[in-house]
Order: sequence, then C-alpha cells, then structure tokens
Amino acid sequence: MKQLNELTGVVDTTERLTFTFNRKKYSGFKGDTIASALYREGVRVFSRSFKYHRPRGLMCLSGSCPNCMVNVDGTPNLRACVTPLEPGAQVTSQNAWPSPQTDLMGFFDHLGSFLPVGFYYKTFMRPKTMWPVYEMILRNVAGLGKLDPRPEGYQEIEYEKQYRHAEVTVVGGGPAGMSAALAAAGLGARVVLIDENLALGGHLRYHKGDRRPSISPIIPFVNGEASDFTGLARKLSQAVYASENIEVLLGASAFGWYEGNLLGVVQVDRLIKLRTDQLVVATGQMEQPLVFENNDLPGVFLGSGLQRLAHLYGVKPGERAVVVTNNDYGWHVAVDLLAIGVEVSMVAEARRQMPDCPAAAHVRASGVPVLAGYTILKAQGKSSVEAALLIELGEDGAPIPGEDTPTGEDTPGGSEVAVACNLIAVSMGFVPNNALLCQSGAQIAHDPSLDNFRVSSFPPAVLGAGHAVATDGVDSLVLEGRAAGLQAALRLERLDEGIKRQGSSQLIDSQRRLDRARSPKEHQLAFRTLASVPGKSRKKFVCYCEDATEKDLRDAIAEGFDDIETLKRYSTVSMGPCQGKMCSLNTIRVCAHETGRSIAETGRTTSRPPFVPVKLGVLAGRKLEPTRHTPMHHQHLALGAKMMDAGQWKRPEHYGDPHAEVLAVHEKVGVIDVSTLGKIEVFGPDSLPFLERIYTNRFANLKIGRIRYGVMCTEEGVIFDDGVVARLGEGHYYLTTTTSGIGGVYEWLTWWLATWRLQVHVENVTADYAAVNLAGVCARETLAKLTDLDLSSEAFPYLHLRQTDVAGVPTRLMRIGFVGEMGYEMHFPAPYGPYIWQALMQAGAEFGIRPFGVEAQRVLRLEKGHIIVGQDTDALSDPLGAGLDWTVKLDKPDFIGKAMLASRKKRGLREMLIRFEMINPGSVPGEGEQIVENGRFIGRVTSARQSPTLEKSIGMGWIPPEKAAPGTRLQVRVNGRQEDAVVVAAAFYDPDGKRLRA
Amino acid sequence: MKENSVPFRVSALDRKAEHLGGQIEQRGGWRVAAVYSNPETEAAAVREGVGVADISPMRKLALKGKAASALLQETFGEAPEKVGDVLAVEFDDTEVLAVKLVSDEFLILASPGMQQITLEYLKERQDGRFITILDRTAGLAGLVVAGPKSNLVFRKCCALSFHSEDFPSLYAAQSSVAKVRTIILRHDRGEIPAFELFFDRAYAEYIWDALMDAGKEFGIQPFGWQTSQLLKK
Amino acid sequence: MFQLTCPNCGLRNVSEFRFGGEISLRPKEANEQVWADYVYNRNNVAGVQTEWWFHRSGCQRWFNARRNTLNNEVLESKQDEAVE
Repeated sequence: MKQLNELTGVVDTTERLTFTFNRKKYSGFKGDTIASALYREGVRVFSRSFKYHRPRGLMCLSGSCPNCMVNVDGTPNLRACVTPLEPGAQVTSQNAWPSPQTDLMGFFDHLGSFLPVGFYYKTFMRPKTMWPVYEMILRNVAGLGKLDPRPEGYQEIEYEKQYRHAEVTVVGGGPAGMSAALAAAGLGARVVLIDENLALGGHLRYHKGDRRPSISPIIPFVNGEASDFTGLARKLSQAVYASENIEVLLGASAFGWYEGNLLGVVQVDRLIKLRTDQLVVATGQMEQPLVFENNDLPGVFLGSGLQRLAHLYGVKPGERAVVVTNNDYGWHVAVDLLAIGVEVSMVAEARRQMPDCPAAAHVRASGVPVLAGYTILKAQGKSSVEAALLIELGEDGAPIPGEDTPTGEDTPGGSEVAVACNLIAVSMGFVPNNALLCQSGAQIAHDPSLDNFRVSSFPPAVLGAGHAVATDGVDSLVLEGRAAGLQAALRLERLDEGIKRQGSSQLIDSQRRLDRARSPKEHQLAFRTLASVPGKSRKKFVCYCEDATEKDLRDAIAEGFDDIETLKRYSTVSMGPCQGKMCSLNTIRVCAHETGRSIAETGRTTSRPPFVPVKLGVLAGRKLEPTRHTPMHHQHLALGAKMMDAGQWKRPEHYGDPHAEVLAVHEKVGVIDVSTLGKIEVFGPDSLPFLERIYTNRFANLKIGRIRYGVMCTEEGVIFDDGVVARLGEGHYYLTTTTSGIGGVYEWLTWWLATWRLQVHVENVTADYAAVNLAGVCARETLAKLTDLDLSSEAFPYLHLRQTDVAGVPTRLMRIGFVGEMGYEMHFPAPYGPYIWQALMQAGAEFGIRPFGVEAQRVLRLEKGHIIVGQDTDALSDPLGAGLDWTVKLDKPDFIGKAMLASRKKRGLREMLIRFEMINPGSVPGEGEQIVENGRFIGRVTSARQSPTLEKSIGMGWIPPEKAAPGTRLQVRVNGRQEDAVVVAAAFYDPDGKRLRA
Repeated sequence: MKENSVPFRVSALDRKAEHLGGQIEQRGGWRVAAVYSNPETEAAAVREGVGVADISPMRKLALKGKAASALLQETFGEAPEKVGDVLAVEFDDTEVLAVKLVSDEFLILASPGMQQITLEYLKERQDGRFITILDRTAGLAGLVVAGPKSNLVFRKCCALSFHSEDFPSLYAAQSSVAKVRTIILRHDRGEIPAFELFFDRAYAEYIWDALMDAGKEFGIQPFGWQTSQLLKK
Repeated sequence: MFQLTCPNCGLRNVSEFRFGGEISLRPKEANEQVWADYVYNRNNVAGVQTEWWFHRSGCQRWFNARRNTLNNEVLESKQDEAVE
C-alpha cells in the first residue's frame, strides 16, 4: 500500500520487518506495532470474543480494549496494538479455530439466550457429577489465550526486577507530564518520567490540534514558536531529554500504586519497583465507546483510535467513514480522516446546535454531509462494518419514544437514516485516566458540570495534572503540569531556601496563568447524551472483555444486583483484561439509568492494581533462591554425594549407600558434615541467669568445659528447639541449635534480651565455624593422629569440651553422641573446612573411615532413640510427653514456658512419644502414618526406618500414655494395611550408653 | 600437630575463582585469585563497566558494647559518629576502616596481614569493660563490586538507593542483597565507585552467581588481587 | 509495601523486618487465668498500637514501633537504650 503523504507516522518505511500471523507471512515497518502492521496488510478480524466468539477488530489502538489480544512467540494475551513488532515474530490468534476470520465456534453468538448473565452461577450445575465434563467443554470454548508452560522453539524469557528511587515521579509523558517533569527538574529534583508509549508526547503525537498558526504565546517552553501540537511535543520532549535531572522510562506502564508511594511499573519483561517521594499523575484520558447494537463489529473505532492508526503508523484505516460524535473532538477526527483521504460519508452530531469550532467549520466547508441531532442506532455488516444506521434524537438529546413504549427503549421513534461505510468513528467523550490517583487514595467525585468523575482531593505526596484530573485545553495542560511539578518539588525537604523562594514565585505565576487559560467550555469531556442508544437488541456490548451486554446488566439489576460493586461481581463486567477502561463508566451510566439514581449516587467501583495486564513472570522476576553451602560442599560433590535441601542448605543425603554408612559408624568410623548446625556464643556477666530463663534445664551447676543437652520451650510450653550448651568460661557459653532453628532461636534470644535488658551479648556464629561429627569405634584413634591432646576417657570424658589444635587448626572438641556411638563433634573456623576434612579422611583411611550423610544420621539417631525437633515434635509437643521431662526443672524460679508446663503436668499428659518396632522387620511405615487400635486412630508415626544394625523396622510416634508401656501391642498402617508393632523402651541400640561413654 | 601438612584457609569462593580460570596464589595462609586474564584488561573492565572480586580474606573484627565507641576512640584517635559512617585510618600505609553499624556496634576492616589492629590488640585494651570483640573473618564472606555500572547491578537485587547523594563513598548500610542480609560499604577506588559487601559465608556462591547474573548485561567481569592493587594506584 | 523506620538504619521496606506482635507484659504471679490470657489472647487493636519489630535484613535489633493498624502509618519507632 502506498504511503499517504499527509501522514506523519513514526514508522520507518525504509526498514521492512517480516513476521507471521497464524503461520502466514506478513510484513511491517520498524516502529509498527503488531496491530498496525497487520491492519496495514488488510487484517481486520484480530480475535474472537470471550463468550460468543464474535469477530473483533481494532478499536482503541491504545491497549485499552481486549479486541486485539494475540499470542506472540508463545506468550498469550498480548495486546497487539501496544506490542512493538519484532522481526521474525510468530503471532497467532486466540480463542478461535481455525482462524478468527472463520471461527467454527462462532455459533455461540446465536446461543446468547442460553448464556445469560451469571450463567456460571445458574447453569451447568446439575447433575453435580457432570461438572468435570461441563468444565472441560467450557474451558475449551470460553476464555482467552492458552498458556503453554514449555513452548517449543521459543527462547525462555528472562524476567527481571529492578528497584528505583526518585524524588519526583511523573507518570505520563504528554504535555502535562512533560511540563511537570521539567518544572520539578528545574528546581533540582531527581525526576523519573514514565510513559507507556515508545515516545514522549502523549496525545500530541496523534491529535493534530486546531491547525491554527500558533497555539498560544503563554506556553513558556514554546516561546511562541510552535505552530501545531507536534511542534509543542517536540519542544517539550527535547527539553526533557536535555535535562540532566530527568530519567525517562519509555514503554513502561505504571500498573499500580502501593503504600509508601511505591509504584509498580512494568517495562516489557522487567518489573520496576519505583519508590518516590512525590508523585505526579498525568496519565491523560481514555475515549469511551458508545453502547449501540453491534458496537463491537470490526470497523467500529474510537475516534482517537483512528487518529492513532493514521498518525502514529501511517495507516489509512478505510475508504468511507461515518463519524458519530457529541463533542468537538469528533470533528477533529473528521478533519484528520479527510486529510488522509478517507471519504467522510456523514457526521452524526448528537447536539442539535452545530458547534462553532474551526474543525466543524472545516468539515462542513469540505462538503461533508452532516446530521445534527442524530446518533447511531446500529452498525450493520456481517464480519465488518458495511453501513451505519443513524437515528434522530429528541430536543433534549434523549431518544424519541417509540409509539408503543413510553420510554422509547424498546422501539425508539424518530427517523432513521442508513449510510454505507466501512468505518464508524465513535467520539462520544473521554474519561480521565485516574486509576493511579484512586489507588493512592485520592477522593473522586462526580462533577455534574462535566458529567464526569474528577479528583476532589489528593492524598499527601500525590498530585495530578492534565486530562487525568479532567483539565482540558493544551495551554491549561502545560500550565497545570508545570504547577504540579513545582508543587511536588517544593515539598522536598532537602531544597534550600533560595530554590524554594524561586519555585514558589514560579508556582504563583503558573497558577495565575492557568486560571486565565482554563477553557470555559471544557468541551472534550462533555457526555451530554446517554452512554447507550435505545434498542432492545442483545448485541449492545458494555464490556468487551467479558462479553457483557447492556441487557445482561439490566437483567442483573432486575435480579437485585443493583449496587455497582455487586453488579460488577455478578456480571463480571470490568473484571476482564481491560480492567474497566472501556466499560466502567458505561456500566455506571446503565446502572444509574436502570435504578433511577444519579451518577453520583451510583458511585464507582474500587480501583485496584494492576491497571494494565502484567505477566506473572514479570511479577515473579528473576529467580532468587538463597542457597547455603558448607565449607566442604565441593568435597561432598567430589565424593559422589547425593545432595538434598535442608532449608536453604545443601546437605549430603548419602554417598551412595546409607546403610553401609550406618554400619561404618558402628563398626569403624564415620564422619558427617554438621556445619549447618546453628551456633551461638553468649557473652556477659548475666549469661547464666539468661540461659536459666531461656532453657527448661538447669545450668547453674554446669562447670567450665562441660556440656549439657538443653531444651527451649515457648511460653505455651511447646518444644521450640534443642541443642547443647557448653560452658567455655566465666560468662561465656557456646550453644548449638538445630539446622532449621537457628534463625528463630537467635531472634528469640535477642528478643528476650531486649525485654529483660540483661548484660548479655548473643552472637550468631553459625557461618564462622565448620563442624563435623567424627563417630564410631575408631573415632578416638583417628583423632589421636591429629592432636596431642590426651583423648582417653578419663582425661576427656563424655559431655566434656576441649579447645585444642587439631591438625594445627584451633578446634572446639565436644564429646557428644547424637548418632549413638562414641565420637567428637569438632567445631573449627570455616575457612579451614576443606583442609580439616581432607586431614580427617587421610587420618581415618587406615581405619576405613567413611563419610556419612543425613539419611545415615537419621537411622543412627533413631536406633539410639534420639528425637529430632520438628520431625518428631510439632506445635503441640511438650517436653513432658516427648520423654524429655528430665530437662524440665519446674523448681527453677522462672523459665520460658514454666507456667504452662506446670499446668500441663498438673492436668496429665494427653499423648506421649514412644519408640516402636514392627513385628514384620521388612515393613516400614511412612512418616505421618496412623497408629490404630481396633481400627480406630490413636496416634501417628513421626519417624520410621529400616535399621541395618538391628535388622528391624523401627520408629517413633505419639500415642495416648495408657498405651505407651513397653511391650504394648499396636497396629500401624503401612501402605493401607494394618500391621502389628510393639512399644519398646527408650533406645533400641546401646540403651545404657556404654558405647557412647566409652 | 602430628600429621605434617600445613593448614590452609580457603574463601567460600575458592571454587568459583578456580572455575573461572583464576590464577590461585597463597597469600597469608589464604588461597586467593591473583588474576583471571591480565590485570590491565581487568582494570579496564572495572573502569568502564563493572567488576567483582573476592575480598573474603580481609580481617573483620566486630565490636559490640556501650564502651565500644570509646575503645575505638582510644585506638584510632577518633570513632565514626553516626550509624553508617565509615572512618578510614592509615597505619603504615595500610588503610583500616571502622564502620558504625549500630550505636553500640562496630566493624573494623583491615588487610589480612595487618600487624597493628588485631583481635588480641583490641582485647588487651578492653580494660574490663563489657565489650564483645569477635574476629568474624571466618564467618563473613567479602566481595567488592566496582565500576561505574555497579549501581545498575545493585538496583536489580537491593531495594536501597545507590544514588551518590543517598549512598556516598565511606558510607555503609545493612540491607538485603538478593534476599541475603548484607553489610554494604561504599569505598570508592579513586574515581571508581566501589561497593564492598560482607555477608554470611555460606551464601557466598549464591551471591556471586546472583551478582554475575544481574551484571551480565553490563559485562560484569571477575578481577583478581593483582588488579585490585592496580586500581589502587 | 509500606515502610518502617528502623531506629538504627532508617526508613526501609517492611519486607526487611520481622513482625514481633503487640507488646504485652509477662505476668509475675502464677495465676493460671492471667497466664492463659498472656499466652493466648491478643488485643488486636484497630488503630494505633505499640509493637515489636526486628530488623532482620539490617541491624538485627529489636525495637518498638507505634503503628496504625488501619493504614500502616508508623508514627514512631524507638529502641531502648541498651543497658550494659
């Protein structure tokens, strides 16, 4: 198609880009969107509607309606009219088969009466058993695009997240927004200017103005040079780019306002969390559709949509147009259409009085036929517009009642005129785009003089300017933007007095000029007629996303959903991808009209983020999952360890054969990396009283160099964590916690410190120390090769600690035995981890040392009957029932949980943690399985394993105390069967601890 | 000690350095990457874009207690005043930094071989006052992200403002970097913005990967100890 | 995401903090009723209340903040002088 010379589109016709749509080849230009390129190539039907599969074409060209949603390179639901065309893009249509032009599901359009409003609450309900079938069918025919989680042949999208900060953020790069940014930057503020388009300018880019020689001499940045809107846009944007203080984000949509002036901004596949001191919202306005029969037919455009198509992309939208309007803007649209060679067959002006604006004069002088006091009744055509049926309105601008009805709504009176055309431009007024303002807490009220909603008050640190606050007239836009920018900057605390004085006088000046410039008519925003034209038809669409018609709304209101919020929820109007941009105001009008209330009384629905569709991937951002490695991590990998997650840690689950690892510990010597254990040092003169209050145990009699197992409880008396407490010196203790418990324990300890105000310092030294447990009959001999310390049981007994050099590294050696064999827990500075591990493996080689993992440790401790907090205990487990009553010293003056434990003890135990073994040694119940008696639930299994040492299946579980005596027979469910088990005494292995203390 | 091997310390980023072709040297008992390609190329990358280096061997002494400020005063002749302030003091041509983290908590940063400021030295001057002094060298990994584009890397993983007015050189803050608690200390190398990060050593490989991923689009490059020396000049 | 002022680190995103609940006084006497109330019941004020917060991603200190639970406005945050 040849380029029209009047067109000043931003596309670069020298660079051709090819792409496919439904596998067919198309081409466009650099600067095109997918929609503009397809339209230029003759594509008219872009999608099929949500429910009725009606053909839908371009309408708004601004991303405000759902009509052009397509799948691009595997990503569904992208709005083609705001998605820049990339070479090689693979575009496919949605919700249509085989193509949107010939969609076989189009017959749904004839089933409308079977899909009434709220049909999903009423139909497809019975019989209940049929729901899965209904659901499958409904999901196939209704809805939007399909998400393929693993699209073949497409590159995985890299999403990312950014944090940004600004002193003043301006959303909207039109004349008001650019002026605001310039004014704030002029006072030295750090400004971020956001615009969803790929160029600054706002409506000045496609709305060409009055074509008068000069707009106004009062616009300060123009200095009287601008001859048209394009010139003004250029001047302002050049000044913006020249300013060092302004950062411009293009192609970026501010989709939500959050507490603390945080803006969610989406820029292609990037999420920007923009924290700003001051916010200026200059997001412009949105032209609104008119509700008439077949108002969704391809070829029915918003007037501004046609202007965008023509002026931004150089596309001639059609051959013959009918312009339907009720305000001066429609006449500008007519001027633009004439200028690009479109024949305007008719302008239907709803007002009886012809406007005296220059645009109207121009159109009439061009010989275009005009009908005053007319509007559109119906768009005619099969899959695109073929004619517009116009109808006469009454004196008051309202429909003329038909003969048979008093209201005229069913069959209107007045004469009808049919005009052949392939384009219908609807220009019935704008609604301020004030979603961000509403979200931020601005009060919005209906202004009867504008017949529209406007902001009545702003929250702190938020301002609005321009069309977004229902201001009109380009001079006013610039001046109001300027005033808002100055005001925002003046609120910054760091501005010095001189700058503040300068800014204040500029602000007074701008406001004075603004008062003079304000247009007395504010013509563009007038909505003097109904949003809806008469006619009983079912095909008058209010909500394009959800296929909700005016009749649906009337039916819903008749059913009692006459409050605007309930009407929204029941009819789902405004809940689709466009989020009410095209339907919110018309729904309010229909609701007001039907209920006989005023617009102000009807009110509006709450505005919530996101205002524009945001991909879930964008919200998820870059994958950031903090992972912790022990110092010996790579040695485990080299040894062939199978790693597992333990919270954020990576730990060896086993090195190939967990049972062999168990036996190695019992028979030779094993070593396990326990660096993940929480480690805390406690310092200070009040350390002892502090620990006495934290733990249930007594520590007053713990001597230096001694270790004691300790239990911490919550105030509820529930086990919170366990570990050992070693006394290193006067007022100096070393604590270990569980791997997963350390964060909580540290916060718990510091919280009580802040409450009690003791002279204690608590330091989390988990990462400072690597730790291994060297255990087994040959542990002593292995360690003896690396240290000069006397390791004999007399010199270094069980539950003692020694600080000494091991292989030349300062080490804390603790004789404790979680795994049930004699052993040493060695804690040493983390950077020596690889060295010590290597030294131990070398020293133990002659004894057959074997590294063991978490799985072997779990078996070993179960053989010994040791519990794991969090595995064998839950949020109800107290130490009395867990067999740890010996740690609970109720005779201490106070400790956390004492009061509740005392009362639990008084009331008696409800359940106890017992050890059991299965009669069938090969049967291992799953963790969490039920323990039953005569088929009735009496408890649950917390741990169970096959013990290679005992050649038995052993476990732990909670059951009522009366069944807990050793020797009691129980039944445990294993894989759905009940199998016999017997309660045994506390430890399966080495019950008297001889091996442990050896 | 019985077996005749010499203890060596490794940074938590030792393997990363090796995998990236770093030339590993022993310095003061630590294995450190001296250089990856050559110092001039690495320095140029840092001057124009952004680079990252492992500084885990740096000595990190933590002081906590009401009297900690007084102890610093006695040691350095002054102490950082406000939270976030970083004091730089020269000892025989080596710089020691003292960072005020909380009103009663400080971090001292010194080169690994620094003779004057040691744990023992500070403990000797404690004089019975209740100050907890710990050597956190083992527990804290250290990274430096340097170059004019370093703030672009940080804005992808930290919610703080890295604008020079909000975060000047010789200022420190504790915040979350890639979801990990981190001490962030800005310490420019001449004209080159540089941010030192200190965090739980167990996260070192994860943080390294997160920064390399965030910095990919800015051409982030690892640099070694030799390059650091070059950048100091 | 609202912001909270840490008495040490300044204004930060609330995601850096752990919420520690409303402040309450640990009973001194051994009355079961009083203890049950302390352990299990909360005032759940709709309005301004004083709360515990822990700056988990920052200085790792506990402090008290007065916050309006209706709009998340933080009126004051302070840390008691460490007693040593």
